[in-house]
Amino acid sequence: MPAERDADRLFDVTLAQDDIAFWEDDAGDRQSLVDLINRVLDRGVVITGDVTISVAGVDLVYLGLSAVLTSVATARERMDRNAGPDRRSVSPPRDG
Amino acid sequence: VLHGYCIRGRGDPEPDAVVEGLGGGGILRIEEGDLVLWCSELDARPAVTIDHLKAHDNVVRAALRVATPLPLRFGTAFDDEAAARAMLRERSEEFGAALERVAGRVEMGIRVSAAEGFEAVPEPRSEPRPKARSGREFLEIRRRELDAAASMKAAAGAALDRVESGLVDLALPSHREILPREGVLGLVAHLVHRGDLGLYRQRVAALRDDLPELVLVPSGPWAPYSFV
Repeated sequence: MPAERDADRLFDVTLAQDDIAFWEDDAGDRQSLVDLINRVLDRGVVITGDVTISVAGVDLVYLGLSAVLTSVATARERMDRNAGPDRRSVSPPRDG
Repeated sequence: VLHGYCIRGRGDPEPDAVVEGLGGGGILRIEEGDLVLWCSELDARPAVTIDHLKAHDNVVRAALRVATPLPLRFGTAFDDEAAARAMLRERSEEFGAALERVAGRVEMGIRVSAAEGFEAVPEPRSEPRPKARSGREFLEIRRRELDAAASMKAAAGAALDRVESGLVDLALPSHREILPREGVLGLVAHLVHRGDLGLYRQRVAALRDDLPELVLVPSGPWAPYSFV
């Protein structure tokens, strides 16, 4: 595969800084986390059978990977709201 | 366990700077055939936290700066090096073809939200459901919620149509996801050649003027998460 040049230029931005706000500003812009979480948690190469991730100790196999799109914080809030003594009884957050 | 970040071609250049993985450790390179897996050795599978997701993407991003990798979904782990090598061997043809497909390209995203004047506005997810005083009232509330959700989904789909059609002449591979929640209508992603990023940004900026009822927030470049 040929080397790709101008690596530094790749990350230049030509639009206003606000428009290229990644998750660095997560304290002020929770929605920008959607872009990160949607990609890192719900896309990318899947190695079948090897994806086992957990939120607050609960494996996401119980929640459904695609369900955790809004934000991990939201998922955690829901889990905290819904979880009884046995956290594995958490209901999966569903799409609207 | 070995936490995987991305798959690269063996001939891809190495970043100039040292790349730090989850837990602050270095990145292991497991080479098998024409492929290289970037991973970190961790005591246990990492929990999903914002910091971990950022750290994962930072490693993928470091690879992206010098050559487009195939990003692995967060949470991909291997018991040991032998398991990782076996995976690379078994899927070498598929990964090789994918690396060729994305070479020289990056993913650009457009988050689409409703501006003032949009026909429907997604309800905040945190809004509590009104309490029903009877079973019938519960069903009515539920029916209204489902109708509103269907209507919102249709409006979000139409909004994404407008965004995609505004860039259709660029003939880019695209991916879309309707995501009517938290004020977001959806996400559109394009696979853009690195040399065309300036043009792409110009077109997105122009599209924002053409679609005042929508808020378009570009992001990227990303590794091609949506195209692998």
